Amino acid sequence: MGGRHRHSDRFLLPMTPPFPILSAILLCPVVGLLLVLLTPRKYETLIKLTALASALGTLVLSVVLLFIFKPSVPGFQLIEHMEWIKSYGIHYSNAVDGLNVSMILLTAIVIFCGILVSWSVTYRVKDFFANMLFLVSGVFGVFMTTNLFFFFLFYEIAVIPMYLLIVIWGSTNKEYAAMKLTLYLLLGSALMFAGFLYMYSLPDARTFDLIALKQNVRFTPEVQNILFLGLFIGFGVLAACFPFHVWSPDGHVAAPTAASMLHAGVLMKLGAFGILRVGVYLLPEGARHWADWVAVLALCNIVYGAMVATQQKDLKYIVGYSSVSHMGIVLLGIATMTTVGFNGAIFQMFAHGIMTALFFACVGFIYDGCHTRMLDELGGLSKQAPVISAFFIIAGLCGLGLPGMGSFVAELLVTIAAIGTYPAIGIISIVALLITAFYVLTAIQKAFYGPANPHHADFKDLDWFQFIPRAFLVACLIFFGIFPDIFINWVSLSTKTLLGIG
Amino acid sequence: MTDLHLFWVIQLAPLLAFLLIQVLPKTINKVAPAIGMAFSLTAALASLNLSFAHSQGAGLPVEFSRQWLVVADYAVWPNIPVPHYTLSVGFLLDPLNLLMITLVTTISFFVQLFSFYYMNEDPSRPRYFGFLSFFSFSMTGLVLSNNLLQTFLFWELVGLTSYLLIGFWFEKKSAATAARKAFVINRLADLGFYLGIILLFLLFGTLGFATLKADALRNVLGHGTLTLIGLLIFCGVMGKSAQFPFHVWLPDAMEGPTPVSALIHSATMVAAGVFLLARAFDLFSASHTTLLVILSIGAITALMSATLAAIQRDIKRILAYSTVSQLGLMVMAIGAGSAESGMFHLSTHAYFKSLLFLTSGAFIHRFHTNDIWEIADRGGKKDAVALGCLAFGLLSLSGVPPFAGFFSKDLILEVLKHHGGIFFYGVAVLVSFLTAYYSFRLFFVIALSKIGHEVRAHHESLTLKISRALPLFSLAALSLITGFTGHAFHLNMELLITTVILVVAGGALAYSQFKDPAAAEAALRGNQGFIFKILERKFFMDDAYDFLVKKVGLALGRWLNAFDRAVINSLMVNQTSFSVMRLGRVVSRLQNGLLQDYLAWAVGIGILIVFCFL
Repeated sequence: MGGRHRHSDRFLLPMTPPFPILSAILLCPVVGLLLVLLTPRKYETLIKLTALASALGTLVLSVVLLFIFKPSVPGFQLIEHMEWIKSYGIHYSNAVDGLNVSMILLTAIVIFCGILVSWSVTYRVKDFFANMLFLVSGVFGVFMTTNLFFFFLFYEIAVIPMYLLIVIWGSTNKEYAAMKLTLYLLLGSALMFAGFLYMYSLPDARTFDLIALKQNVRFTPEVQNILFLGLFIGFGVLAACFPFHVWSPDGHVAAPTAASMLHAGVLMKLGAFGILRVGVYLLPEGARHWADWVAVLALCNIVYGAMVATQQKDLKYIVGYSSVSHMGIVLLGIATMTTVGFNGAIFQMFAHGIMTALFFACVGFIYDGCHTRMLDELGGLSKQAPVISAFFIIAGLCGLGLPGMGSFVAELLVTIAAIGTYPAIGIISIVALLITAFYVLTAIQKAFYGPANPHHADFKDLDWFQFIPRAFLVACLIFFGIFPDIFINWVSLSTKTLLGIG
Repeated sequence: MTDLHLFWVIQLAPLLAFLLIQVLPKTINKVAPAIGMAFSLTAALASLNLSFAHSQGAGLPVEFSRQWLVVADYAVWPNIPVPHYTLSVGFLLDPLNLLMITLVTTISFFVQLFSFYYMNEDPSRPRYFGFLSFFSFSMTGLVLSNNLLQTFLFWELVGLTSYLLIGFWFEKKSAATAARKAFVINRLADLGFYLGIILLFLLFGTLGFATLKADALRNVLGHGTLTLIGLLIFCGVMGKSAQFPFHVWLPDAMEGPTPVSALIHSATMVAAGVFLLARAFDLFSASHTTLLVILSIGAITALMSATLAAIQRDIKRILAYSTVSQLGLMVMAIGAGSAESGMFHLSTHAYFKSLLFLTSGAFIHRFHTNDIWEIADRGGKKDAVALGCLAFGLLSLSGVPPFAGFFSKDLILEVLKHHGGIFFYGVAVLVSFLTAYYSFRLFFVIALSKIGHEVRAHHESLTLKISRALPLFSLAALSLITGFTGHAFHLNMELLITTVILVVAGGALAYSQFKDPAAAEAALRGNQGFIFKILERKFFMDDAYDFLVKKVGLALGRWLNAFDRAVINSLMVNQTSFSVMRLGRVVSRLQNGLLQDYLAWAVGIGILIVFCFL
């Protein structure tokens, strides 16, 4: 692969970092959290600045990580290992490969923008930012750990603050949605943890270490099939796989802006990431066994999610169901069990994460200004607030797969893989492009076009400060849409290793 | 400057204009038109430079290509002998797109110039000129691209700018709806295009135009596969070039500002489909079935919309249906196997149709109406510049020698006569007759009407006058001379006579009906005939789409939404949690604090256990 060598040569810096960079990324929000907790309640700006500084720290470090990361080296790298409970094989150990390096970047981007977008929060500021930082620490942990025990632990850390964020700062039926979301995610994690414990109990195992499990344990085909099914349902709940998706739109709608951004942008990716990191990595035979079913469910996600989205009247519900539809593309990519599909799936996770973050950043701003998200009560916003409308329209265009944006390349790769593997499913999945175009443009027409609604005459457009996070998200989308090879370079060797090719 | 530099200038100048206009502070956004014009002039000069450097096709083709994305280094379909899949980006210049790029950049410039006049009073001018520049960027990208996927990328971007510009006056519901309709119908057609590209990529391994040669394709792919891929890609062409049954968006697209209609919806973007047919001609010509389908679709479109053009009252709609019909003729020519004649008509048509649209814009801007009878009533014939240019354009459209339209249409008729069979030749002859009829009808209504409520022209500054007249005169001149540039030109006496007879017959019929436009209008209002009804409902095509969207698509959506709420959410999720709660309530009743109950339970369960063990 010419591209990869060229790339790696250019970035083959003669350095390993003088400090454990992964732990540093994880520590940034943790330290930020502690500082926020220590700051008295009344210094709100200081709290916000602390949170922003720690988010900026993770962003800078995760960009540095990309330069240190060597895509041409197979397997895990930058391994950090610290033994904790040796007899149970529970270690604090982090590592990166092509699978998670981009997810760490995604998390950093979304939390950075999420904190900027939350600048307007006024209610219980300290608790809000503390929860945000707590949540994101968990997410970083899940993405970088190689120990299943910590995987579960970090996962729980990510879920609990989400409940609080929705219940305290949310809107629209928030208690119900928060409870539903939490129960769903805990159900998923229970299945997942049962699977982990079963793996631990296997002969030769007696460890939670992912790499050791892979090397030491021979999973028989029957075990693989059962385990993968359990893990897939557990993770699938989190990835909003049909028919376990209903928590996700309700949760999006109820959550405050920044929580929606993190939720749709990052939290849903944890599920798909888990399928790849644990399911496919440890149980390739099980994954192959269930691949056909996964493909069918993914197709349901894609088409069904889009069809249901056409009927929604609330902007956040539209985005919520569009997320269901777009996560289907990720699942379809995984179901193909090819490197092309995996590359596309990971790219879609990244692009969709940024795109929905942008979507919610726009919807949240509109909701703050107009106090409604119902399409019929909006209208003509483009005239009054052209900038925020433009951002929403850009997010919408990305959602409908406009070339030049990240999602297009991701969907292209997944579609190529799907048509190669499951021609019928691949071809039907393309229809979603039409449905998506229809509901996105209808929403745009109703909310932003037409005569201006006099109720929202005092709706003010973005100021420069609120412009920054949204513009940053757009820049990411366009950058990776134009230079997708950079992204694919990061992941392609790891997805090959995952499938045991080359 | 080398070719590559020129390519970059042509490609990036409009993008730069777009970006500059976006970052322009509000206080000086009056200069937006100047930025747009300056950069489009740069692009036009660069492409003229290119065409002088490569006159007569010297040194062509030129290709620059680099890798864009490694998709896979193995064959995705195991039994396909393609070692690896790589997508590339690049420029490819050959005589075909040299013609096209010159045409696109020059017309872009003239339209920007005219827009300065047309949009003079609009407060959203910066947005307008920004979008227009972005369109030029996307269109040049489409034309210069060296492979199908890159073409598709820019194909979608021109669709986007078309959407944004049709909906430019988005406060109007009709404009916003028309914009959405255009995008969605194009998207529907593009599904085929997208699928075709993916199949071709999977089966053939490369998408570069330079490698898509008929022999190579036939070596790798079977006849059926080739036909399938060709037809799928032709789907995209049918959307963009408004061919039956996807033509319905184009007449509605006239909601956009008129210069936009001139540039996007007549001269360049809608011609992109025809351009693609010529560009990837081998892909289509590799299968005779594909060509036959293309020929038939072109024929249906050309005939259908020519009849519709003959009954419209709205000047822009007349021109829009005429555009659809002329595009149908070009598609027919290519379907008959002659890409050259299709492209030749495309280029002459681009000049005279953009002239016609700009002329109609001149009328509309001055008289504030689209209706030809009202234009006439308010003094349309006193506007000498516009009327003269209208005559020029219409003569060219109806194919009067020696105007450009004559040469290109003649060539198409000749091709169809020799390669298309008598039926398709007959269709083309009928279309030519109808073209002459509706052209003369339009002209007679404006020129022969009595002036009722005359609207006097406002006093216009010299700059405005120039920006109105210069593009009109330049395009009028171009639509006269471009006819002589067709390389394979030779005069065929038989066809010359046929054409002249058709024009005279069409003109005479139009004259007999519209020599007194007021009376004709009265007759038109009274007409309740069956055929007239069908024409008025546009062959029920819009109704059919309406039915499919509302009664099929949205109904299914409603049903699924109900399913989602009722079955998945209520039945599966909420009921599960309620039953857990109910169970909890039942079990909690056990713990009521009454000792005798506990005792009773303990004894009862104890007895049960004892019985079980016995």
